[in-house]
Amino acid sequence: MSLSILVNTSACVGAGQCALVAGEVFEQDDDGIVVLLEESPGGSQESSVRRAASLCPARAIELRG
Amino acid sequence: MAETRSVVVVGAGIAGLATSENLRARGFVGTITLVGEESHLPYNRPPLSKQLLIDGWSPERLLLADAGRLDSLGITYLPGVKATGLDVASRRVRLGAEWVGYGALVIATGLSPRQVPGIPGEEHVRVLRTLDDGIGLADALRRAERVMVLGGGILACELASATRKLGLPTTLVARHTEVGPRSLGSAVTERTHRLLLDHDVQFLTGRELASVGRTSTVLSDGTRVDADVVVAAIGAVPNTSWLARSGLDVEDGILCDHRGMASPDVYAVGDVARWRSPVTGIARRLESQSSAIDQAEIVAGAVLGDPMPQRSYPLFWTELFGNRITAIGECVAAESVVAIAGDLDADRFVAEYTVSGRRTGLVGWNMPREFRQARTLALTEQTKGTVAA
Ligand SMILES: Cc1cc2nc3c(=O)[nH]c(=O)nc-3n(C[C@H](O)[C@H](O)[C@H](O)COP(=O)(O)OP(=O)(O)OC[C@H]3O[C@@H](n4cnc5c(N)ncnc54)[C@H](O)[C@@H]3O)c2cc1C
Ligand code: SF4
Repeated sequence: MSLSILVNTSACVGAGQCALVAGEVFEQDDDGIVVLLEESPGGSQESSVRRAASLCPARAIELRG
Repeated sequence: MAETRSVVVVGAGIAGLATSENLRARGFVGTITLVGEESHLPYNRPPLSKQLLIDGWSPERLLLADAGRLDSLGITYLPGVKATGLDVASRRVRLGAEWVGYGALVIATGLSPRQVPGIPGEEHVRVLRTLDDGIGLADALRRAERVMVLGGGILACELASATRKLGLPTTLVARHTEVGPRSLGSAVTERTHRLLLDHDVQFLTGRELASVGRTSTVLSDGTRVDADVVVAAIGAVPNTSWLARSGLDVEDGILCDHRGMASPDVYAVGDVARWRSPVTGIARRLESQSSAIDQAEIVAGAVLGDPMPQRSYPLFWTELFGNRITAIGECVAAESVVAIAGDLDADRFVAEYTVSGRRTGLVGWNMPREFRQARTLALTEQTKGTVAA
């Protein structure tokens, strides 16, 4: 199953929790704002992506599927 | 322990909602009732002092979940319902006037802002904690000419930052010059003080508010300050009055063990909770969104009898006058503060806080990525048992 990810960059506070727990899917730009490396990561990344979304303190990561 | 079939969560802020979501993510199939005193859907508080005031965000953008999502998670949401009592012996919580049984109870009632002590005109003083407060304040600021903020903590500084950004002349009345995130120590409070001055915040200390009128206020030494909007950010107290006769220890928040248990099958999470650290034995409250999320994860596991999850290392963040500040760990008692990236005298750095050569905390100032990299390194070292934070 593949997950699709939406990030809301205007809500992102640059906390970096996402890149800390799922560094293959999320990166940060120079201002710390989330950069999505992969919009539909493979199944092996699903649990870390879900954890990233739930840990994001700005609730800026939305998952579909 | 019999298997829990029904969980009642009191308080529908981030801590209550995240606990409910985590219960489902862990496969809990029983009933979840989420009770919230406010009439809104669960919403996100940090933007109340930021995007809502500065960027004109609509209240809808603050919502944490819509009705469809709550529904799909099988969460029964009861807005506008206040918990008024708890009887742990019979495992019942009073919702409004009705006693309701629970298998496990999660208390996530947060804080209420401290009000200014009775002075003439106190009704003109606003506070900021709820969405309704935020909508009212945003509206008042649109018509304001001059603002006064009371308090020297992080919220007071965020408010001054927002009102200056809106171009409003702003006076900050604080106890002393140590302002901003005090838990991050003097390296950060001194900087915050400078930021306030650099951004033309009129900064007054050592005086209190004596009276408030429609367009001006008077301080305890007789100084008159023009302001048509006055906001107090002088701290907040745990919402535990409804637990006064429950037998729980609610002296300064609800006392809990290291997994959030206050009494068998009763847990507390978020700003209202005072968890005891298994390492230091000290129990204290944390007022941050990220620790509320961290605790929600742990409590959901504890309710279901799961093993302790891996900690998520909550962090603190704020934005002051366009500067993004992130922090983790213990910073206030540090013996030494050194820059491990950037320069402490510049406006970009990552500072490492140490006690007896041991890292206890990290602060990032406009260097979010480097801050995260330092954390990643710290986490790797931590698994080897060499550092904290
Ligand atoms: C303006 C503002 C800005 C902030 N900015 C930041 C920031 O930048 N970074 C950060 O980390 N943190 C920030 N915070 C702190 C963060 O918002 C809190 O840590 C977080 O909201 C705590 O969540 P909670 O669910 O524990 O409590 P709350 O969000 O306070 O939610 C508790 C809920 O319980 C309800 N309730 C209370 N009593 C009862 C009852 N008896 N029955 C039913 N319901 C009840 C309340 O109405 C409330 O909705 C900010 C807070 C504010 C107010
Ligand atoms: S965790 Fe959330 S706030 Fe932090 S960088 Fe990622 S998306 Fe942004």
